[in-house]
Amino acid sequence: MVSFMIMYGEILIWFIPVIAALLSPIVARASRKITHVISITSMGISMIIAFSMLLDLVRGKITYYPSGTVIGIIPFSRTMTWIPLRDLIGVDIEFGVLFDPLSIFMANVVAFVSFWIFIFSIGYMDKEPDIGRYWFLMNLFVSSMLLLVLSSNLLQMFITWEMVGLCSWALISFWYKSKAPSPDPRFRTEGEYNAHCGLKALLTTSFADAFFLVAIAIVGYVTALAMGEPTFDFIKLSENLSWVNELVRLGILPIFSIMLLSGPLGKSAQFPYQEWLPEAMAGPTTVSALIHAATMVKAGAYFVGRFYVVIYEGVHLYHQALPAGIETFFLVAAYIGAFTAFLAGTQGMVAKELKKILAYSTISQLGYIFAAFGIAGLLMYQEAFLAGSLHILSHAVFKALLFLCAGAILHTVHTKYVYEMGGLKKYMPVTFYTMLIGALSLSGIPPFAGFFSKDAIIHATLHSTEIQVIFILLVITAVITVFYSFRMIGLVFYGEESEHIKKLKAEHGLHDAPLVMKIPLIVLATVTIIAGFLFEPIQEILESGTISYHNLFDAISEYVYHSFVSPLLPLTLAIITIGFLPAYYVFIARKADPAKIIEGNIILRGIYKFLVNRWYFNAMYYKIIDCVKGFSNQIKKIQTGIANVNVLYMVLALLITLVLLIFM
Amino acid sequence: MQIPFDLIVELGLVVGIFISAIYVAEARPISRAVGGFIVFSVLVAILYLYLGAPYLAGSQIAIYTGAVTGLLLLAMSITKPEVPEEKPDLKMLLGLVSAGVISFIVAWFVFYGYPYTPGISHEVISNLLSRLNELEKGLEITLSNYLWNYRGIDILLQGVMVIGVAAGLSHFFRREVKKE
Amino acid sequence: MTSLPIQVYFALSISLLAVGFYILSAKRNILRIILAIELMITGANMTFIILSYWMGNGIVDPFIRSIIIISMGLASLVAALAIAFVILIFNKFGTRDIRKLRKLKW
Repeated sequence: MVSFMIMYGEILIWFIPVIAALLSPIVARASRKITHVISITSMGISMIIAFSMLLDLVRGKITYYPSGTVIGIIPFSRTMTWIPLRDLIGVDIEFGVLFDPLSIFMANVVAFVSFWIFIFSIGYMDKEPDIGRYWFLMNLFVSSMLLLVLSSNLLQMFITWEMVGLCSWALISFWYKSKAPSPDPRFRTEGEYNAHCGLKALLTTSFADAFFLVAIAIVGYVTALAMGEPTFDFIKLSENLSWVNELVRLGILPIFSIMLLSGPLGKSAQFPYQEWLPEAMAGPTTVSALIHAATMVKAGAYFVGRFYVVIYEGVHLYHQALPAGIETFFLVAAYIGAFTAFLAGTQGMVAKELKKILAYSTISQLGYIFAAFGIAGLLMYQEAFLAGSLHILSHAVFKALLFLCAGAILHTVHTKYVYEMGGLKKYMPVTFYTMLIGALSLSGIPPFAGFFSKDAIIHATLHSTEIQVIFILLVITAVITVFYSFRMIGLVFYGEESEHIKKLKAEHGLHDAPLVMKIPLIVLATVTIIAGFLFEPIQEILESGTISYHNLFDAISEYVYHSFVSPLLPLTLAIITIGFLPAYYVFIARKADPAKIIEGNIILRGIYKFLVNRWYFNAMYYKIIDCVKGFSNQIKKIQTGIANVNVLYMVLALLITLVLLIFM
Repeated sequence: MQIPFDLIVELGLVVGIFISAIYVAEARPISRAVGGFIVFSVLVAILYLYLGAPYLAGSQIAIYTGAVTGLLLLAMSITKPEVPEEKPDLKMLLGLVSAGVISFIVAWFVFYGYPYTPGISHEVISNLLSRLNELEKGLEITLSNYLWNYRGIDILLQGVMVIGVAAGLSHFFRREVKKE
Repeated sequence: MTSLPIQVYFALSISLLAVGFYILSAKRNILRIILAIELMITGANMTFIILSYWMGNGIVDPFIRSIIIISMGLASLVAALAIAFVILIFNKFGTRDIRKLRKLKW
């Protein structure tokens, strides 16, 4: 009997990147090449271990490689006691790895995409002096993310949640020492602007995570009420669903759902926390690709999926009764997801920077995934869950591809504004074709991977007649998606060259990306072409953990046939046509000038102004922050530096303490 | 009529300690405040001696009059702002020598006894231990009883603290207003 | 026992604390403030001695005496470190006035 995962593979998968992270700043002082080799090797080992976990998952049980000992039947978790607090508060803080179809699937997505992004960043950051800090943070990020998706209880997931937020902050403000002029008039140098962007991301997600932590504490409390012993373990939460009934009895289920949802909304940049992701593009492009497209922002969607799996397995695997009232969580997730998809899509239509277009696109597609998971939980509908998970996979691959292509373009053209590019098609052919494949997949054009997953999500929203609003929003967003992706392709690659491009061509000549940057583009483009056809076995793995066909080819061809010949096909073709034709006319064939169209019509001008100002959400948030700053400016005046005044404050505190002691 | 010797000594000690503490607060040149502090700590040592704790008195003089005062004088001499050199101050030297002599005399009396202080001998210790045992058995007064029975003094003491704080506040604000 | 009522001695030790607080909050000279700290420690020690004298019916408990000697030792330690600070501050800022040392604020 063949076994696949190496001994203690579940620990090595996230521990080896930690070792690489610790070694990187030291080795980077000696030799850059060895640092690159260390990081790539550790990531490669993690990718192989993740894939071996997948192979073991297919056979239904996890075994160790040399000895073949079975360590458990899926789903199970291997835990150890980390902090023994059983005497104090009744529960130990555990540390464990969960072997579950969703976890292993996400671990594979993360490991695979990270590996190719690491290879790309060898070329992208080749002249960077601070490469030790870069590799330290990237490796730490990958290890935290792998531990997040594999973690077996809520507390450990929260700890790694915060760690990925920390690495994201450090990587967004990576170039905080830059002395170039700042793009934003509030700051003096570009370094200050980058630091502000990183801080904005950290503060927004921390604000969201505060509510999340309270909700996790409430979970511990109600499990203590319901089952006698507080627990945060996912499998224990799913084995006995009576804790949800306790929440209903206490009357706090709606508040609890909103607070529990706040963490995923913050991490995945959904409404009302969507403002940090466009600013996060101030970091290096490989960071944007890894953290803000493919992995960290998926952590929020992963948590909603994990919560769905807890409830679903509780009902179907452990035969509990479906607790009433849990639909609030999924209902809010679905509506916020659909609304955010529409919100971000409209902002992406008018964005002026290349990476910002992709950032709005990320927020929009994450809205799709939230809508899919929300509908899955609302109706306990497994098809929607599978559709959302497949969209996680395909979005990770094509969005990483698009960001890496953007990185290649930025590396060559040295400007981030899309109106300063144009006509690059003949200078960067490989980048053009791979970016075109990414854009086709993003728009949902068959036979690429995006078509299958987006179609599956829209198909799932039709399942119930009560949620037509979500269906309408998602369809409109699909049209907008096609429009802005081809707008991006047209503005960057077609048309005539701008002044900036002409100047660069005269100075250095424009060349395509170096080979070490081309290889990940080609690999990711290939994966996004063939991944669509692998969705059927992946669906089977996610659903039941095993593949049980004798003839894989027949199953795949049947899936593809049903995807094409479905009642949604006319709708899909209509979406693609309505979105593509204006974009082609205006941006690719350049037969009309968009500025003149907008100037001529007063309604269009109003809409354009509204969209360019990001629906005025950003301005509103900054006004709130200014109010808080003004208030604290007044309060901080009580801290004079005079020692005598401090003594008087001490006496005041002493008197207040005495009064409290006497009267209480 | 018997001279109430004890009452005079006690009253003198209490008043002297209080006055010298006020002097430390208000004396203008800092060296005079240090002089007041020497007087203060000697008076406190005499009080301890009167209450029957001779080693405490000795260590009070050794530490406060000796070490702290010495350190303060050292600090005053090192951190003097730039002034032209003067001849060494005879009065200061005389004050230091007399303080040293007084400390020596008090330490002599600690070690060799004095009619009014109970010397530390074996009978005293065993007497003390037996009295402590009786005390433990017969202890009736608790802290709350004490606070209720002597609530007048309690309020007086709190009033003293509040007056001290108020004086500090008024002094502080007066100085600031004068600056402007 | 003492001829004066014992409460007078309590009042005396509390007033030492009050005078110490007054100097701390109203005076500028750092050396005077060190004197104030010593005054306050003396006040606290005296409270213990008086209380032990009163509860021990005229004998100060030797255990308490030992603790007070330790406390006096710690007071001298505080004074020594404070003097070291004063000397360093004078070397750096050239002043003995704590109202001029105002950097620890917002």
